[in-house]
Amino acid sequence: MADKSVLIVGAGIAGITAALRLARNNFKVYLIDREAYIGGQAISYNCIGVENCNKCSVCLLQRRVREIEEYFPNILIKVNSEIEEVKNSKDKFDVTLKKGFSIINPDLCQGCGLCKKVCPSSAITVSHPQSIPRTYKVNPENCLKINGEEDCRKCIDVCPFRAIDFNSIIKEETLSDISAIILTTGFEPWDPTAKAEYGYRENKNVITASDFKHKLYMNGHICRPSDQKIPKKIAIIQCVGSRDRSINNQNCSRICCGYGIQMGRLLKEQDPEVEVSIFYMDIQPFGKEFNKTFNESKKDFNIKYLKSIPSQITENEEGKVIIKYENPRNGNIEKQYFDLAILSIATNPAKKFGKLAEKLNVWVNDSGFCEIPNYMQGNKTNKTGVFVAGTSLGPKDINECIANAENAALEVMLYLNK
Amino acid sequence: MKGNKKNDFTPKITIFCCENSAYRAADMAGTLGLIIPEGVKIISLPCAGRLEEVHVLNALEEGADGVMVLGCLKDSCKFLNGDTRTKKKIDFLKETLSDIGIEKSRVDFFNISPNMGVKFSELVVEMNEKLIEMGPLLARKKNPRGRS
Amino acid sequence: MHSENRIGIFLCNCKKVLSKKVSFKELLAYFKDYKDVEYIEENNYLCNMNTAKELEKRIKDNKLNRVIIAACSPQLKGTFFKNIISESGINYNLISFVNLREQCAMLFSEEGSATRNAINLIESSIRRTIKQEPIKIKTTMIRQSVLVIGGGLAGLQTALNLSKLYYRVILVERNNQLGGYLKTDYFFEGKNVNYKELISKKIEEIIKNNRIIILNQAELIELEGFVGDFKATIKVSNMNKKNEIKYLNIGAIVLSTGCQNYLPADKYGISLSSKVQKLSQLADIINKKKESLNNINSICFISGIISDDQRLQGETLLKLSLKLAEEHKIQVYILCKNVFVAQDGLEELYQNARSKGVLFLKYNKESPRIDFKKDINKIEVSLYDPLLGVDLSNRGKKITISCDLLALEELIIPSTGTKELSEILQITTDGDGFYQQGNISLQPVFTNRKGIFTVGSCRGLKSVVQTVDDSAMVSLEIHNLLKEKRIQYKLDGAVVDDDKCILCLTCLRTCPHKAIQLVKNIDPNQTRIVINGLACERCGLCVSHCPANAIVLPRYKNSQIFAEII
Repeated sequence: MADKSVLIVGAGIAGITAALRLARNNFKVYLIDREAYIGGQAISYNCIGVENCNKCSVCLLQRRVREIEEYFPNILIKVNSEIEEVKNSKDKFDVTLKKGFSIINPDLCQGCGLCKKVCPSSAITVSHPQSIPRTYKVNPENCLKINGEEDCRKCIDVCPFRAIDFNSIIKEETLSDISAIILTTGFEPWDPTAKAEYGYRENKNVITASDFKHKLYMNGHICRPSDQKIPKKIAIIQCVGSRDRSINNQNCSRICCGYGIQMGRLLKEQDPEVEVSIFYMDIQPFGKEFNKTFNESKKDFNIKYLKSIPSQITENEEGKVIIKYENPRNGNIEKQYFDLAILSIATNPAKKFGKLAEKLNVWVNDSGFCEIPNYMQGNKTNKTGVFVAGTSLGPKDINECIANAENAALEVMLYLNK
Repeated sequence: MKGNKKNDFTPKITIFCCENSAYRAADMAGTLGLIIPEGVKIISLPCAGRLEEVHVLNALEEGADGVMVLGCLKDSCKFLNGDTRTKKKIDFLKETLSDIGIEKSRVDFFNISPNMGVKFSELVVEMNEKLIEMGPLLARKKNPRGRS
Repeated sequence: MHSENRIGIFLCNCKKVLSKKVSFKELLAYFKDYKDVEYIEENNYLCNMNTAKELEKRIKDNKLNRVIIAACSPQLKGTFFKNIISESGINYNLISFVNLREQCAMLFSEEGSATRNAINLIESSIRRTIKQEPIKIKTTMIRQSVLVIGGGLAGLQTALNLSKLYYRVILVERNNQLGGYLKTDYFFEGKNVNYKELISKKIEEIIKNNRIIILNQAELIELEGFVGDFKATIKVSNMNKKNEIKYLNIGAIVLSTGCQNYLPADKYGISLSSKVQKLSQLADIINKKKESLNNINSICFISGIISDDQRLQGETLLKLSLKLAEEHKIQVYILCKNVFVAQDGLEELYQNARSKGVLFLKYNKESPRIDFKKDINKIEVSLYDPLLGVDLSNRGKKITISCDLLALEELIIPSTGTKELSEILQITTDGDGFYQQGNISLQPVFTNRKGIFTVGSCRGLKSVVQTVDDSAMVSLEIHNLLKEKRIQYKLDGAVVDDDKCILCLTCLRTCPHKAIQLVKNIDPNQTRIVINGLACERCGLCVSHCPANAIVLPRYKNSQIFAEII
């Protein structure tokens, strides 16, 4: 079956799982992603455990990335690639990819880190320390060359692989005779700037859960963005961007209660003196032994649960976060002061998914996720030969994405073996 | 047994790493550019559960001033209970060492996950500082391999 | 027996990046005439395909019999180098790796310390490599059939998937018909889903499929053997109530025994009657005996008292209440702590139910109080609600509602017999009785034993979509295990030395994968411990717990670990 090739669009957990499964069964796989690294969203999440595993499942992704690293000859990874055009003839696809890289070419970069060391303005960071390709990237805001000092060539000169080029080139590449396509473009965390009452970006000490996970990954612990002090009183607000008529997203994002409670537990395990309060609407169950986990978080970890969604979040001059909410016990409007507020944001479909679906003539439902015509075949789209898996179908946690991608791989195998 | 506190004493630390979690965390610490003290030697095992007490004792005899054993987080060991079993062994070993006059905190067990590069370097730096306080271990075999 | 060690050390400076921290000149000088080292060279870019191919020439020219690759982390390119170097005749266990990049050059600050560390690492590796021995490969036959226990959606879907991958499946079902939980009236039709239709189609497909053998009224009573060659004893009850015993030889086992409703009698403090029903009973009535609802004007559902986990009950609750409100014009009250909406379409259903007049009243710490008013033949339920309630003296704000019928939410627990089956198969269970602890390495379908898998709600509450996805994953994993009739495996599993073994059985009890068995013999001197080479996961726990040091893990022997220390 080495003559049958499958294109997997999006190298997150679902894409990587499907790619590994198909490669194990001797199919040739092209795994493309628009970022400069593979791993999708979860590769930059940190483990939410301190001594006990809190079952966030992020390590499952990292194990699978390691498996790809271990020299899988059937999987061809193309990063910095997006689909430009798809031509469909008989039962094969010809896909034209647009490849662009910003400054550091991931195909040439070997992750040595010399550029980072010589950069005078610390503008170069590793993309993700555990993803592959293990590459570095230039942050345009801090880079001297981009911001006026044209003469600075320190990184260009030191790179032994000649991977740095400030003239970004966009190239095209066509993959011919693709027998099947799997869409695993995933989700994007919602930007809560649209919810003006919470003042995200204005209030320095209001961050999203993605920011929290990323900071934890790079630093090991969390600090207040405004003054780098350790927060002692933290609020976690659920349902930001979900079940909300005002921003036109009425659906539940399913996984936020799970990671909200896990975040609270992590904060308490790292420092039992910290006070954690969770503002929620309805707690959605998750994982195994949920009753035990939930009761433990209330009794053993002393996390305060408030059945109330805040109406306003502001910040005073000292940088204290003020949350205005209705006290569920007596109905009074109250204010509480916190050091840090973490917003559990909705999982929305990737913004460019609509355009991609148009190019492929694939249906999209009202929420922007991919629509499946037949619920009995949960990964087949309306277009023959095009399949979908993972969070492109709707919010899912990591375990569900893995199983869903396996189902898609099975459906592709049965489709191609007819 | 305490030795004289030398200001330029570089403790030798042997770290037994589970290859599923701690070894990767050490790799990540390197990639992130975190610096750890000289004198550290990393040995990889298929699981923390493979560790026997004699390995720790042998390391101390051959010249290590301290030994760290790193296993997976509780309930995430690929082989289910490697970390809990090894922690029990190390706890018991610490008591035995204390009975023969070797400080308990020279040997310790930690839980770590593969993406905790920062925690890995923090643990090593902490252990290094503790050992500088305690001074070098004087109990050695004849002609130990480690230069002391 | 004198065997000369001819070690070849291949250094890589990663395009001169590592040589900025580590002095390769010093390394080359130090090891050039080192004992047992035959050849040492420095490379700029060792993982380049062309350079790597030249390794074969170097190995042959210098007659090397062991190789050390000192480059980046073995977790990055380990398999790559092992594959290439094995082609030149060197056994894979005679190839060692030294991590000069992530754990040496990148981790130490000064040039001096990095070089000293590099020398130390390579010396330790040389000592260890000398103690490593070649490991052979063994071939064995594995059975191409699979046993699926449980004929609900999980079992049916897995059996169908496996048959499409050309495996023979034996499906064992305890009752006299297939279908499991989805066949009950607990599951209602939805916007795009029809569960009854789904399960009937699956049953139809299975019956027609001639690769699947169905055994009704059958149960597993004993299991022996290991992955690839299990021996299962099945008891089949036929029509004359006589039991027939079947013995099957199978390659892998799938557990799909599912779950059931259960109402713990004392939790609510009231007994069932015509006015107090379980949720499942009400679902039954509305599907089969609608007339009994004729005199009912109001129904009150109570949810959230016995469990916070409504993953299977939540959907039924919403659909049932909507049906009662729309079709039967009954006033429905739902008393709950949290509404379950974390599934496709449920948020819409929740809003729809509310717009049709279903009232959701949420309580928190205090459970609702239930009073039977016999005089007016109604049931009064009162709960504490600070926003809507009326303050009655200083007992707090209460609402009291009056209804004709009370419906109580049930717990979903594992099917009867789950515990017994877990003991027969030696599989662990979690605190709620479902299969398998929450260990992240075993999610979502694996168990502690290789070759035994679990699917569906017998592992924890799962929706239909999750069950179907898990079935696909199990089928693909089994396909991975069984696809070659004859498989090759490396003889690097734990091995017991019979001369040292004292038969204390510690290893048997320690092994988390139950890969060790006691093989008895009439001659007690021949009774021995055998560790199955396929089922062993090479963790080394048995090795470290054996009080007689009788077990050896070939790639991690004590002699090798001692050689590497310091």
